[in-house]
Amino acid sequence: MSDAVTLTLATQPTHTLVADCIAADRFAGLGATAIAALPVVHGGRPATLGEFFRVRGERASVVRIEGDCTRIDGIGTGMVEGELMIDGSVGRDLGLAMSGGRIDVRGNAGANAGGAPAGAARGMTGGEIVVRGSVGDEAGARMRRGLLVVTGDGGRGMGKGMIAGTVVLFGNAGPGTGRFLKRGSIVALGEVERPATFRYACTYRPPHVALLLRYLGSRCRLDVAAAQVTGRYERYSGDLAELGKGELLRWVGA
Amino acid sequence: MTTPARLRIAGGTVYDPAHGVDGVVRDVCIEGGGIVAELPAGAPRLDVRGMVVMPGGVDIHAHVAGSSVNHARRLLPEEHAADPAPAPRLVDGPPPRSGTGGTVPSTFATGYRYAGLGYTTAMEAAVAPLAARHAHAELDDTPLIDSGFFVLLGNDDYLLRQIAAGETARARDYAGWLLGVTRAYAIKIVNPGGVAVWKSGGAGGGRNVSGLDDAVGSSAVTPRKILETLAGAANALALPHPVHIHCNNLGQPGNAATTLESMRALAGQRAHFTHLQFHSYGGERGKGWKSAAKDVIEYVNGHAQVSVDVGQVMFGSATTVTADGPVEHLLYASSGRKWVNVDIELETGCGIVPYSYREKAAVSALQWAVGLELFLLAQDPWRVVLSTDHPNGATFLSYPELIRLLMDRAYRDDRLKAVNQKLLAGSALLDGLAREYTLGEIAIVTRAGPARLLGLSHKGHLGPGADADVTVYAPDADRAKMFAAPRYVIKGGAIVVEEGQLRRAPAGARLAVRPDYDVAVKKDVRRFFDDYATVAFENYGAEP
Repeated sequence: MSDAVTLTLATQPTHTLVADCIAADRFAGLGATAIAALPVVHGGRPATLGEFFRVRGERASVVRIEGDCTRIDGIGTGMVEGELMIDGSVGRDLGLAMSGGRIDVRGNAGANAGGAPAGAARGMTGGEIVVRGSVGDEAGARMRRGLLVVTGDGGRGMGKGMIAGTVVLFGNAGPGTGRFLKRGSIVALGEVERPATFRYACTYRPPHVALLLRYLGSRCRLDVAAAQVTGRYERYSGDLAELGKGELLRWVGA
Repeated sequence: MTTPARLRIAGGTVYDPAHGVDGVVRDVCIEGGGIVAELPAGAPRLDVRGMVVMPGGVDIHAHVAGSSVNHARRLLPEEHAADPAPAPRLVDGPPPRSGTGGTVPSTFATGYRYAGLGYTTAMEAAVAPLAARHAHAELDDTPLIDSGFFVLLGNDDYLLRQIAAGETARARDYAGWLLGVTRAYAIKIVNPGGVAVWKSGGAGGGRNVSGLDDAVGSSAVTPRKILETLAGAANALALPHPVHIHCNNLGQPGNAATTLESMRALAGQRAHFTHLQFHSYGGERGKGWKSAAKDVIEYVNGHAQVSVDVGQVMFGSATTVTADGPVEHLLYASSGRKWVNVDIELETGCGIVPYSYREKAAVSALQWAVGLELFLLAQDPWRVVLSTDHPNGATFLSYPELIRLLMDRAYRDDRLKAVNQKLLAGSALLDGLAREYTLGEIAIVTRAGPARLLGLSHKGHLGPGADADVTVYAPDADRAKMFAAPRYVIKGGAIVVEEGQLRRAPAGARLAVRPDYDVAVKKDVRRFFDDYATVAFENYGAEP
């Protein structure tokens, strides 16, 4: 047993590589050779993780990934617990339908981070995803529980159809953010367009946002301004075309 | 081993209820795809001493092919991702195919999985005539099972017009023509008149029929008239399987009254009432549910012309697929799940809602209990067939678990304790039903019974002249384990499952009827097609 399993990208995939076998809890019970033998799909054809990554360490639920994984999809799919730290950007479906643990990306993430598999009712149901960069479209779509934090910009339809859970976006939101929201919170610290089916409720200093941002500042070492922690937020209720129990909280300054 | 032309399945304990054989050690001899009385002593042997030998399973009611099933597949990509079905390693024959599983498996996977369960015949229970060609194409791609389908007629516009005009003979001839032109096996009625009302919006703003004497468009057309006309047609056309009926008011509290009324309406005629569990509830709409299984099965017990299949609900994921559009709307509204509803032109409707039955949910638990009550209170297993209305109540892969519930009282009582008891008051199951099915009775409800009810004289038994469809199980006190993984399956004389592994996947045969009818009806139908149909008369149907 090692302190951590480290995957170093040795061979850059030439096509999209679906590596939904990478999850911290799964590695906790596997030796290095078993990890290298895990199945992946490269350009639609079966391959193994070891053909692309050098594996160091074994049987650990702390996993580090080094290298530019922009072409690699599905990292952290269905993760239940443990810690997955990625030093570089990743492709789509990061933390797809994960239910626990932490994923920390020092780079950008593609579409559908923390989202749901095609056709499934629920996206992530627990755990934390922190992306220190921007995300693609529909990040946090159909999320049921958990926390998704993005320090850069969000794509289109962020938090689309969220059932519950929390999204924190430091950068600017794309169009359609929060559409079809049933419950849950989207905290927008940058520019955000209010969807037509959301209604203004009030402007206040939400204590739960202060707590959350303090936590992100201390635990994740994110750059959170004091004015954001104690500042005023406009609360919009929505999506009124759905259940309408969700909220979009827009920071409007100190 | 390769499949020899002759084979003696030697020394097994044979259950062949059609011939009164109930657990007798004897050989079963196969030659040229059929069962024969005896073989020379030197014929190749398959030693199955200590194992249980039964005819191949026969599924009387499942949804495995056609446009509705395909809609369901398209609705469920998440199930495909979660349950990929890699191609099996076959030793010879056509190349194996990969596919997807979930509650509605792809065509090849359906065939492979049925055979893996020891089933060698399955009937697709609802095909719109317009989709007949599609259904045949899919059944062609579903290996290992002999199959056929029931064609939907209970809400067909041309048929309802004939009933309105009092043209019973023409309605019968139309049914005869349609069965032949679509290469179907039997007539299916789904929510007679209800789907037609749902599609037309209803005269008084109604969205369904609620009883046997509601008007369907014309006051001369009622669910009762539809049942009478089609049951009469099926019997007059001398079809091997009587009319196959999904009653009105499926899944609604108090619907047992409608079910019993439908049975009485057809008293004295042969009729098959399908997925009876979904039609055996007491109580009242808006005021709660209870079991009415006892009343319904009592009627069935006392009337030899009536046959049923149970449509058992099992806990877990399912997908409801039916021509009963209004029911699916109710289910969608109550579950909030994704759904599909389709209007199939002049013929019928279709609705699909993925669903899950939960032990902790009061209605799911009631449905589970009602199904078991029907099984355990049935006096004549020949007329009460095992089914889950795959994939509506559960998938066919849950049959072994269902068999265990029927055969093992201790296990059943244990499971009963774990389910929501809220609606179970007054159910016979809660009072404690001691009955345990025997292996012989299981052989009846899964093979001999359905084969007889379908009029398949060459299926469901092991006498000379029968198809060489044989399943061999290794006995196990855990009946679910025993029935989930047969040791050998022989299909049409070919050993398709060997030592529990799928080895061959020959194509299955198509089961279809071509009844005699007065061809004069074709002229009138052609005129109707010219006026109303989107398809030219010449292009209709599924004749090769």
